[in-house]
Amino acid sequence: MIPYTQSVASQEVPPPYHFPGVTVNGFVWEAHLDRVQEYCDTFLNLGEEKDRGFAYGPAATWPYAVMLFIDYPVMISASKTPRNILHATPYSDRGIVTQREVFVALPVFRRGIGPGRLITDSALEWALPFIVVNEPSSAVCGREMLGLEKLRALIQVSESSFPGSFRGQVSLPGWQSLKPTEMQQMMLFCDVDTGPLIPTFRGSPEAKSLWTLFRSRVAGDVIDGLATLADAIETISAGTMPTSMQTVSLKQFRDAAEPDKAIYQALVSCRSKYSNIENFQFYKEDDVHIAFYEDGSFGETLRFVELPPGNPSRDPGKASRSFSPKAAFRFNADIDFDNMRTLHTFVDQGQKPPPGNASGDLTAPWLRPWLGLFGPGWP
Amino acid sequence: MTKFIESFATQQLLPPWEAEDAQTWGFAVRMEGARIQAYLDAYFNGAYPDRAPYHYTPVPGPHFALLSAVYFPKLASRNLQTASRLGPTSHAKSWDHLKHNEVYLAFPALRYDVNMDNLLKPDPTLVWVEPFVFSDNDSVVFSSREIWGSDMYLATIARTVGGSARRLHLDLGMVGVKTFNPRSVSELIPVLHMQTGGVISAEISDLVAANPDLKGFLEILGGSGAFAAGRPSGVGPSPFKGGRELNNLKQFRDCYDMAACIYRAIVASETTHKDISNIVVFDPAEVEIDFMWSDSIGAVLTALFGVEDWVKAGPPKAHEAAAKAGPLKAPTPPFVGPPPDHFPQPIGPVPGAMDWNLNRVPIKAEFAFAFSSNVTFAVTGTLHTYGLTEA
Repeated sequence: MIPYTQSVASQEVPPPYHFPGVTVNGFVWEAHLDRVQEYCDTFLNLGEEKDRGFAYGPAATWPYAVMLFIDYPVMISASKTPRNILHATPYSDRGIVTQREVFVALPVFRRGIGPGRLITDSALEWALPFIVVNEPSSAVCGREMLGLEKLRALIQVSESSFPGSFRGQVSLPGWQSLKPTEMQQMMLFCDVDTGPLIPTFRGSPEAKSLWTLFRSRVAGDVIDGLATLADAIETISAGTMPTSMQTVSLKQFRDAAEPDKAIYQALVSCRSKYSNIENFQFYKEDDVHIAFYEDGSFGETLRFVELPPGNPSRDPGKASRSFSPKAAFRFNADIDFDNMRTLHTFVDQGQKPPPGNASGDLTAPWLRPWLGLFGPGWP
Repeated sequence: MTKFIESFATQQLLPPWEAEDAQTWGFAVRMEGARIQAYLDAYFNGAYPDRAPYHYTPVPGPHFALLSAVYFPKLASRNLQTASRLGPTSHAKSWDHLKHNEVYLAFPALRYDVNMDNLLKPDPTLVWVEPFVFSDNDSVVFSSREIWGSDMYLATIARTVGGSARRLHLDLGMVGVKTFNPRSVSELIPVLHMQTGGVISAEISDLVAANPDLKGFLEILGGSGAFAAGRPSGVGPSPFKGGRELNNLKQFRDCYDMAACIYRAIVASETTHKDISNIVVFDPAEVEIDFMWSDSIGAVLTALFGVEDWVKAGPPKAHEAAAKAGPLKAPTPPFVGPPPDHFPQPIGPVPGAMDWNLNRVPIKAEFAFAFSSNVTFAVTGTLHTYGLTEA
C-alpha cells in the first residue's frame, strides 16, 4: 500500500457521509439512447472490450435523464478518525457542512462479456455527465476521491412566484466564446422555474402525466413505504431500483508534464442511498420551465444529454435550450453516501499497471453478499 | 500512460502558463528548522513504501519562509497540445484567460541525490516547497492540485484597493468551523490578514546589517531571480545551485481505502519572473501578518509555526468593527412577485463577509517587498513515482 499523507491544511472529509433531511427537486426528461451510448463509449468503454471484460450501454428499460437539485442542510461524516495526521479529531466531531448540489444522471447498464460474467458482472448504474456543488471541499473530494467531474458553482434556490413552487439557478465560471483572448467569467448555465405543487389552482395535469400514476392513495403508500423497503428492494431487484443510486464515473488524472496523457484511469463506483422518503409531491410539468445556456465553453457541457425540443414558453431569446420536462417532483429524504469501490483500472497495453491499488471489482450487487460469504476477500 | 479523456469538467489551466503584469507582495517570516524537517520527512523523505532517490533537508542557518500574495490580472495557458479545444483551425498561442489571487507559504530546502548505498551525494539542489497555497479561482485550484500536485485550497481573497502605491491589505477566508464540535456549522472564517505600512528607501545592505540573520535568505532569493538589477550590495551569491524549482507531492486517494494512494509522485515545476519592475521595500515593523485562530486552521499553524493556541485576543484593528457587527448576510431572493431574471448577486469577496470574531496569531515580517513582473510557469517533470520499484 502507498500511504496517503494527509495535509494539515486540508479541509476535505473523505466519505462515507450521512445527509439527513435533504430536500430534492427532480426533473425527468427523455434521454436519447444514441447519446448515452456515445457517453459510454467515450468515458466508460475505454480500450478493447475483450481486455476489460464488460461493455456499458444505455438502460433501454428506463430511457430518461434525471436532473436533481439537492439541498443538504447537514452533512455528517461517517468516516473513520483520520490516520497519518498530526491532529486527530474524528471527522464526525468537527461540525457539519451545508451544501447544495445539482446533477444530471443517466442510467447505464454494465454488461459482463461472456456467459459467466454476464451474470456476475452485470449491473445497472448511473452516470453523471454533469455535476456541480457549491461547497469547495465537496468539489475537491468528489473529483479526487471518487472521480466525479464535480465543478464548483453558484447554486441559488428559493420558492418562485407561487407558494410551494421552486426556482433554481446554476452559474459557474466559463468563457463566453471560444476566442483565444476570451476572459473567464461567471456565467448562468441553468435556470429552473416551477409552478406550485399539485394539486394546484392552475388546472389539472394531462391524463398522460406521470403524476396520474401517483395520485391514488395506494401509490402514495407505496412511495412512503419505499424508505423501509429500500434494503429489500435493492436486494430483490439486483440493484436496479433508483432508491439506491449506484454511480459510475471515470476517475482520471493528467500527467504533469504531458497533460494530454493520464497517469491513472479507472472506473469508480459509489452509492447514494435514499431512505425515510417523505412529502413526495409532483409539480405540474407544463408549469415547469428548464433553460440551459450553452454559450462558449458551456457548449460541451450537455453534449451527451439530448434535451427535449425547445418550448418557446419562456425566455427563448436568451436560453439556448428551454423546455418542460416529462415529470417534476419534490421529496425529502435522508441520503447515505457510501460503498465506494474501484470497478476497473485501465492500463495501456504492454505497460506496467499503475502503482498503488490497480484493483478491479465488478461484482454485481446481488452477488456481493454471497461472494463475501463464500468467495475470496475483497481486493 | 493512457490518453486523457477531455470533458467540460477538465477544462483546466494547462501548463505551461504565462501571466502578464503580476503583482507580488513577499514577506520573509521565520520558521524553525525542526518544523521544516518534520514537514519534509512526512512528505518527501519517507518510505511509501519505496523511497525516492532524494533526501530533503532545510537550508543551514537561520530559517525563513516566504509568505507571498500574488495578483494575476491576466493569466493564460500556452499548452499547444490541447489547443484543439478551440477548433481545428485555431492558431492560438494562448487561451483560457483568467485572473486570480494567490497566497502561499514557501520555504527553501536542499534536495540531495541519494546513491545506491543510500548515501547523500554532495552538491545539493536548492528547491522551494509550498506547505499551503490558496487561490480564489476554481480552475486554478483544480489544475494545481490535479496536474502539478500543489496543496492548494479555494479561498475567498479580499484585496482592499487604494492607499499608497503598492500598498497591500489582503484578507483571506475559507469555509471552516471556529471550534470543532458536532454541532458547529461551517461558515466563511478568516484565515489570514496581511497589511503593509510605509515604504522604506534603505539599501538592502543596511537591512542586512540591521538583521544579519536575513543574509542567507536574501542570497537564496537572489539565486531565485528575485532581484531585477542583479544582486544588491551586501548580498552575496547563493551558495547553492538551483533556486527556481518548486517540488510538490502529487497524490490521490484510493476510493476504497482513503488512507492509501492510487498515485503518489514528486513533481518539479519552475516559476520564472521576467520584466521585474516597480520594486518596493516596506518597513517590516509596520507590516501586519495575523493568522486567525480556529480549529480548522489551527493544525497548520501548529505544524508550521509551532503555536499551540492563539496569541492575541480579538481580530486585527482593521476588522474590530466587522467582528462586532458580525458577518454580512447574503441577500435573500424575493418570495413574492414574478420571478426575477437572476437571483440577487452574492456578497462577493469582501472582508465583511467573514466572521472576524476570532483570536489571532501574529507573525513577524522580517523583510517585506513588492514588485511587478511577467510570470511563466512550466512543469519540468515527475522526479519520482512511488510504487514502481520494490521497497
